[in-house]
Amino acid sequence: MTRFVPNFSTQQLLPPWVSLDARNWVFLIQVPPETLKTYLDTHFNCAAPDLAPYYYEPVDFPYGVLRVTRHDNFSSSYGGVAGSQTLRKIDVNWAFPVNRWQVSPGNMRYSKQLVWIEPMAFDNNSYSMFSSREIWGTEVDMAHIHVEEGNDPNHMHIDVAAQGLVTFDPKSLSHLIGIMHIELNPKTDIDLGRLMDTHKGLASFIGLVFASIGLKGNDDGKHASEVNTLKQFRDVFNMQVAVYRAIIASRADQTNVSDVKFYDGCDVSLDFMWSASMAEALKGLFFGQDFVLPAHSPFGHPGRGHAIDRQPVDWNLPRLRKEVVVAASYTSNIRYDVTGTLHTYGR
Amino acid sequence: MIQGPQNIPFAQSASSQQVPPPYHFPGVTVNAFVWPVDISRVQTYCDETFNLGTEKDRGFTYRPAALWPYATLLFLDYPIMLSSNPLPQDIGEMPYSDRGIISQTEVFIALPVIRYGTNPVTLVTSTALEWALPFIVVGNPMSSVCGREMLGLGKLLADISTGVGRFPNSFEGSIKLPFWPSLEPGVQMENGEFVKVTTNPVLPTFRTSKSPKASISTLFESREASLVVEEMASLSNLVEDASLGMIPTNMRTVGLKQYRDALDVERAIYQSIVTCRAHYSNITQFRMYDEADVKISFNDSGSFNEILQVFLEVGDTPSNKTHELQPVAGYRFMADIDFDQMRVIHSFAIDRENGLPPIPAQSDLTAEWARPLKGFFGPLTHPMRNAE
Repeated sequence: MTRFVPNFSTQQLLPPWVSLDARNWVFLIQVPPETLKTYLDTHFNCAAPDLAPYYYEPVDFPYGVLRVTRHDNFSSSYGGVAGSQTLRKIDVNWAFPVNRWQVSPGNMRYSKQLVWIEPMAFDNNSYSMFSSREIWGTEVDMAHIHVEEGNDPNHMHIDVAAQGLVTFDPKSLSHLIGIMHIELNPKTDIDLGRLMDTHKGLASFIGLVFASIGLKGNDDGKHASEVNTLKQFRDVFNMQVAVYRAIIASRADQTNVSDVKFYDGCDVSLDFMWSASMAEALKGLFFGQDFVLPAHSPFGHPGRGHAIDRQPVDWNLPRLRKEVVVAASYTSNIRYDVTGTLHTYGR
Repeated sequence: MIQGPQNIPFAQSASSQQVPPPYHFPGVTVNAFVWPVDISRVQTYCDETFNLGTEKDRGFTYRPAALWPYATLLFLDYPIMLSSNPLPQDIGEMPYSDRGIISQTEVFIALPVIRYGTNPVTLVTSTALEWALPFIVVGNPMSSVCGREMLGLGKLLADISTGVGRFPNSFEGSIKLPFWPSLEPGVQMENGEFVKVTTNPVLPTFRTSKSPKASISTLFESREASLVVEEMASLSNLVEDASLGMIPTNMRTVGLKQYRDALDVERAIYQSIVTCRAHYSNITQFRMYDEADVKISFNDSGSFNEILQVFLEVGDTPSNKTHELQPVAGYRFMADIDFDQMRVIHSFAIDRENGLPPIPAQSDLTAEWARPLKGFFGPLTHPMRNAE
């Protein structure tokens, strides 16, 4: 065995992770189906140079989940020592469910399993960001994240900002720019039945989402919490080549779920801020590759305040509203475990 | 050139903000501070970081540079950071070099180490002076990710403050880092001050506590000092005459690039020694500080203690006090820096899972100066231009 050489710069938050009393907000969003398929084809289904013995396909309903989680007691339980390297953090990630088929050497697909894919994530703690990227393979970017939940949990406000470029130009200067703004301000009582009738497949999708957080309390629900990530690292010289590329399986099991509340999507304002740095991600993951920024898009931050963590944020960007179908909030304990390496590329 | 097991393509994500090297950094302000270091700690660092496995298997041994038993703390302010990749990038989008500019501050501690070949031939051709960076922090998250994932530099993300101190033309710099005040489970991470540096104005100045003449001679009147100045700051413009034109303008960094297995985190799925070149040019405005008036305070609390053990004479457990340091030299200058010539000089053998064949060790140890003699023109010979 080649022993990893540990030191202070690489010893952050070894798995498993445990988060106690994490506050969760989930926003169900409909996206163009081709965005999901394109991501799967470019990251999981393509030869690199060998093919993994799996095939990933989107589920029948084109929904995904934008998740915001505030962790006030997040730690490593590596080596059975609970509470190691405890920290606070907020993470935001975009996830969607897919069907993963096993593929035989004769190219027969069998044994379908539902797993989650997380193509985009932000974290406001560098130590958990390093661990996410370097151990789990999640493509997390560092961000400044502000979550404002006052005395009334129904009213809440989330801002995300990260280093980026407003326009691509040799003289553009990277700075802290707005990424997204979410505001929840319920005025109506949610009618889940009406929403499910209106949105095809929504009932099944909500079932998938909550199957993974312990509401059903059975083994089937646990199976739905598997996450697959593409873990890869560049060669030091030829940056288009990876020295390591593998599909990693992990799971996030939620227990002690409480304070569950649903919200009608019409009471949620979700705005993505358009910049050169985010354009490809917004097109590729949320709006479709053919999307063109409307000529008269509204500008600026719709919420209060323009700074996060006392850092000024440039919100002077075109704003794109994305419809939220339904939202929910809850509190839970979450345990994150790596379960294995499904496939290592390079035979 | 060392290559991996296969030509595995890297899947470029649209959301990725990381910019791969090479880079060009014009107009960098460097503040540097030098102090004696315990050679045995440097040897321990070399043994634990570079001298992995047996000497026979790897073919080299890293040792401290006995001629220069000093550590150097550098604060670098980069007003402009550019991708300088001249080659087709094939990323389906605008080339990195045309996208824009990043600025940031970086702080690192450099220890000179010498890589010796282990037989009579390689002792000559593979021996090279390199700079280990056991501590490196940056203010820009993209830079930290690139350094860690591409270059084998263990960059941490920090709040770095630099500027003029109490007096005009002086310097004050500090680093705040995430840390745990106690290593007991359940203790919350905090953002704490790791190090603070203050100086009086650059020389000549009337604000000195000792003779400024003595200060200058501290640095320049010893052969060892001139060596480190040459390597650390590549002060070719300034001291070319003094060194008879034999000043190298390159500083080669060395780092251990490694990644963990996701399930068995004690196991490495990739491990190699990577060197890169930092080429300094257009060096101007070189000024010395009176080292007697330079104050460096490291915070020996909680999880910071593990960092300090590499280069300071601290105990194995935190003293929960500040560790004051008296440097033997302090100086500042401006320079243009090119960061390039990334090279894997040795990849360690890797056992793989799922019945995959192991990846054998590979070496490309020829020292920079000996490469032309050996027919290597590797650094500027990109596979896109000269497929092997």
